[in-house]
Amino acid sequence: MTTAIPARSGAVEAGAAAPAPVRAARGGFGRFLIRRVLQALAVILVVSVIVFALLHALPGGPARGVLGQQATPEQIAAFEAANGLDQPVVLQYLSFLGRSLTGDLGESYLLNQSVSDAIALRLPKTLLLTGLSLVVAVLVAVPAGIYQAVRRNRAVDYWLSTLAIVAYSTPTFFLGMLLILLLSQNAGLFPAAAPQGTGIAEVLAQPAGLVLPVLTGAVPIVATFSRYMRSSTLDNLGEDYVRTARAKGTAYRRVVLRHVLRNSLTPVVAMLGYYLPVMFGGALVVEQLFNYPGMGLLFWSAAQSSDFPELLGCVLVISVATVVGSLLADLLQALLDPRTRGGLR
Amino acid sequence: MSDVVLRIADLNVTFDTDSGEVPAVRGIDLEVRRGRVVALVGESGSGKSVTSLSVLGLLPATARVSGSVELADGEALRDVVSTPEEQLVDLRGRVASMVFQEPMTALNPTMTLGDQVAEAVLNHERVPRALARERAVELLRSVGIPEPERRAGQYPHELSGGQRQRVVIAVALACEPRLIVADEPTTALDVTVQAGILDLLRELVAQHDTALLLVTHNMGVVADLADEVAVMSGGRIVEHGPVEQVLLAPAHEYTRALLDAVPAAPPASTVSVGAGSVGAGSVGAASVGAAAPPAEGPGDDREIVLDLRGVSLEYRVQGRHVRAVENLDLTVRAGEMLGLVGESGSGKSTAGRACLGLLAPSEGEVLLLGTSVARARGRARRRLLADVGVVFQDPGGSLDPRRLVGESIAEPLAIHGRDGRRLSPAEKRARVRELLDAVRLPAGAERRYPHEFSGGQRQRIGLARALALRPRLLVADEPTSALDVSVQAEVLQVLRDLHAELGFGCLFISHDLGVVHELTDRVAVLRSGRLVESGATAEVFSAPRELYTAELLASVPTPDPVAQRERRAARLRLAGTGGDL
Amino acid sequence: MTGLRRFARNRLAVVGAVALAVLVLFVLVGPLVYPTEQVATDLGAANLPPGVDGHPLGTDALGYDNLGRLTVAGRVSLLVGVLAGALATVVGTLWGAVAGYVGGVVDAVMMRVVDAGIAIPAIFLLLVLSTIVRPTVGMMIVVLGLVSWLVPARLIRAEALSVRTRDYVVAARAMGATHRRTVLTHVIPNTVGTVVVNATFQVADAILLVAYISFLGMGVQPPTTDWGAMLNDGINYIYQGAWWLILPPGLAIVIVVCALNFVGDGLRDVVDVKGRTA
Repeated sequence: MTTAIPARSGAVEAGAAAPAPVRAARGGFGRFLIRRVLQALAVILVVSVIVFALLHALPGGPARGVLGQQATPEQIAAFEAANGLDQPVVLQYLSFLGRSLTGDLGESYLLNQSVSDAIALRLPKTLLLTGLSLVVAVLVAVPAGIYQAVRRNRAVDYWLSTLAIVAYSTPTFFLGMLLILLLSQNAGLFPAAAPQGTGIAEVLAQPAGLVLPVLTGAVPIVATFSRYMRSSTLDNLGEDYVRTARAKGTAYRRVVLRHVLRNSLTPVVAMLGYYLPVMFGGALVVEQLFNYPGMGLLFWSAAQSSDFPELLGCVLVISVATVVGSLLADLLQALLDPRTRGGLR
Repeated sequence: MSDVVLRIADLNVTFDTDSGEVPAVRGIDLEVRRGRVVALVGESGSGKSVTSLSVLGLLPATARVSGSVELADGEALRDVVSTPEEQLVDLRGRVASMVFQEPMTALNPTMTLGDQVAEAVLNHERVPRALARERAVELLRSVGIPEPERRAGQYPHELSGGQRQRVVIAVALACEPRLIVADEPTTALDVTVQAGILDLLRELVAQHDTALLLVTHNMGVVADLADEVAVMSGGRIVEHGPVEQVLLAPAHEYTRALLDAVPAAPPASTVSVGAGSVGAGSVGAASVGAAAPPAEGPGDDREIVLDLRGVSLEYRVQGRHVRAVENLDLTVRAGEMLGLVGESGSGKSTAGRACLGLLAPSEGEVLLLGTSVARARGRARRRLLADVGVVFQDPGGSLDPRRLVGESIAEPLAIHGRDGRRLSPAEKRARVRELLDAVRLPAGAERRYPHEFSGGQRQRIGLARALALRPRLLVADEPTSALDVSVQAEVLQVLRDLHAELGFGCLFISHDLGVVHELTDRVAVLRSGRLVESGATAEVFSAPRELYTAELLASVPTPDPVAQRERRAARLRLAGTGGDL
Repeated sequence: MTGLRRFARNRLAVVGAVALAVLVLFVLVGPLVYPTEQVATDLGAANLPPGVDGHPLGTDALGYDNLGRLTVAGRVSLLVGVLAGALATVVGTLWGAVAGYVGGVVDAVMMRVVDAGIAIPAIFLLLVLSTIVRPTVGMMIVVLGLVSWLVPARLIRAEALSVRTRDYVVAARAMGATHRRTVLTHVIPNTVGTVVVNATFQVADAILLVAYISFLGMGVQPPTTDWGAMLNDGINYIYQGAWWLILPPGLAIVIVVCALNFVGDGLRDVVDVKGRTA
């Protein structure tokens, strides 16, 4: 499921639940690129249909959704005429698509600001938080996964695997609360509130405040990716080329670091793209918990006050960001693999 | 004494598994001397591969080893069994190295070929990186890789299987070890490619005075390369001696049985006939003209059960059409066995799928009993398919693991009924028992699951299923390729008996010329999707009209070391006349 | 080796199964042997620490007995989790099986829909939906189920694609078996193991998701509650050290989700045996 934090596929059937791998081996990189981009565009199109459908599912229709619950029938009628809501659905969809493409996502009546401006202000901060969590998580998960694979079926491996499941099973907000209780309330090491401010620079100026949010966001990613990394490394350790490398007198340590690491990372890179929606979902919770002024918090406050233009604008932007992110991860994976990169020449 | 490069004494290997300790090697002794080729032969489970891995200390952690495996390092003998891993690293590749079976996976896919060869050098010698690279290029050149400078910068997937195996050999040679262990080095390769690799190994051993421990199940390969043979069975060496003695006058009954089970390769004299005619023609395949018309025995009026007329087959890869078979004509008559032979990529299996109606031809027609299978629909199609049976290569995959063997065998009965009516459970049971009996499996087998049977037994179960409805045509796609020779002989005997009894027409698809020679009446040779030649098996194999067929035949090694020497000479003559091996 | 023995050999799986049984017993039988007032508020007895006035786990801000609240909240969490997980499994399995078996354009279109669904983070979608429809228990089940079917769909599609190319399926087709027969006798029996294992994880994830929605204040409405909502209520008192409002529901979630994951791993050990050579 694309669920918020839980990424089932994740801890478990990593490979099988991953997006259908677009094998580029024979087609060459150019063909692969074109196919994959077209696929992403198709997905974005379906996303836009879903968002459009949600707009029409709003109580009282899109007009009430946009104008708010206090709007009078006259206002609604005027709005519908002005926005072509009396036209056939297909035309309405096309104009919605057109407006979205030009960046016009409507007006937030809560913030009294255009939705795209509100998002543009906060998206970078969410990307910063997610990015930092991701970097921290990868720095822990990759070595942990490799270590477990090398020590497979020993006590260390067993305990780390169990720990990963426990971490995976702990809701982000509960983990956040525990961290606040322990590290902020009791130990007083870090502030429990995230840095405030409009720009990224202001956020970065208070690094201590970032520690708990980044940590909270990183734990579930570590739980999931250490398992991916472990199973990917295990697969590769069983490959014939490992035996060849050992047979020519390469030390085991070097076999792991020089041969296995790179081959094991490639599929994990693709999983990163797949994991993006989960990370954004996690960001929402973390931002809400620590009052971090990013897009998740914006979205949450919009949900509290039924600010539909804001809500749907956020959904559209975050979904497109996800699709683009997955696309980039797939392309990166293809570039890391000489079998697909070959066609580039 | 100082000649000894490897001395194995009382080696025992057991594996810890869920079901207790399983012995794999039980007390073997073996010596390999400088410049000698010692073959270790046996069937799967004989312990030969385990022995080969123990030479370099590469056994998995679950293995328990006792006895000694000594490698000559300078003047000293170092015991691999008692040497700790950190010191083994120094021995591997320098004193002894290894070549593996599967060239497609033996190399790191994300590292350049040059780097992989150079790594072997750098592991043992303190030389600058650039120098190691130069050495790598030289090594690639010495194993017959064309344009080694360019190839060194390429990745494994850019090379063919045979070339990759040459690179693996280059890696093994990098530090000029005194011993190379080769574990089934040509098993995954086509027979013409295999011949090239065997030539290379022979040449390298002679040039460098390297000893070779050759692990293989293929007696022909043994005859081609080995000086000495040790025959393994059940973890023990049952016979050991010079190659002529063991292969031509085996003393042990197991060796005799093993050699008896090997299908006879077409006689050696045949090759020189083909070679002679080509030598005279001297221009090769093109001059012989278009593919010969499908020869049939004159006056054969048996019913044609399978008829391929100008069939072309395509499949799609990433939206591109790839032509697998082009303009193929074939016929199979009732009661006849037609062998369809070719190397990998020849399109023989694709053709087989078309005969089963699994693939519609893009041109031409596939007629089953006179009816186009691609055009038949619904009930008519099912009735047509009721007259066709199929046996696949993989004995593990062709039976549904979740269904009882009896259910699998009865599946055609369940689909079609018999004589237009459904069978009662009792009738089905009776028929299943009959079929089990026909393929020589005990009663009661129908109540068990496929994983409880061995590969050969599963292949016979598959055969029983294929014959459940007494089909008029049997399509057998490499039915014995995954089996050991003794098991293969068993399965083929069952097939031959049932064929004689039931008189179905059979399309027998195989890459194994020996099996086809032994089994079939007529043969069709396929190359790159085109029919090269066809005709009575005896004629085609004794006097091939096409250079390719002659090369193919000459490349099959025969398990007779004396005859094999002649075959090799004949093959090299052929290659000299403009063959494109 | 039988499936049960194989399962029993995975010690964590056994621990998980026992923990699940205990938790289910706790939420089902608990209110019967330990009845508490969970509808009318009692502000006079608000925020009592554990052990005071006969409240073993204290009381919350509205004076509800915390232990009793844990049991009734657990009923909602487990009910929604199990039913939503089941719904997701059924929808996802059908969608994935059809896409994987039919293949071609149908597959491509169906999978783009799945991709799009996955691209929208579930929490975002759920929050939008809960502003549109009033979140009752029944509604939560439907909405969560409809958001969670995407991963099983992908998983089953991959499985169906792979089963479809197995020799025994090809052989059945070559014997003239109809699609219906092939799917019923070969494809479904050989994917059912994957489905069952995944269903376990699906339920675990649904329980987590319910908790997230409730924690964000968009879940079931009071006086109905669930573990996530209890945490949401409790967080306001975290700075006053009211740990008893946080730890019990939080640990309950962790334990039940862990247990389901352990059980799922154990089931996979059982399922993976198929086709393995003896």
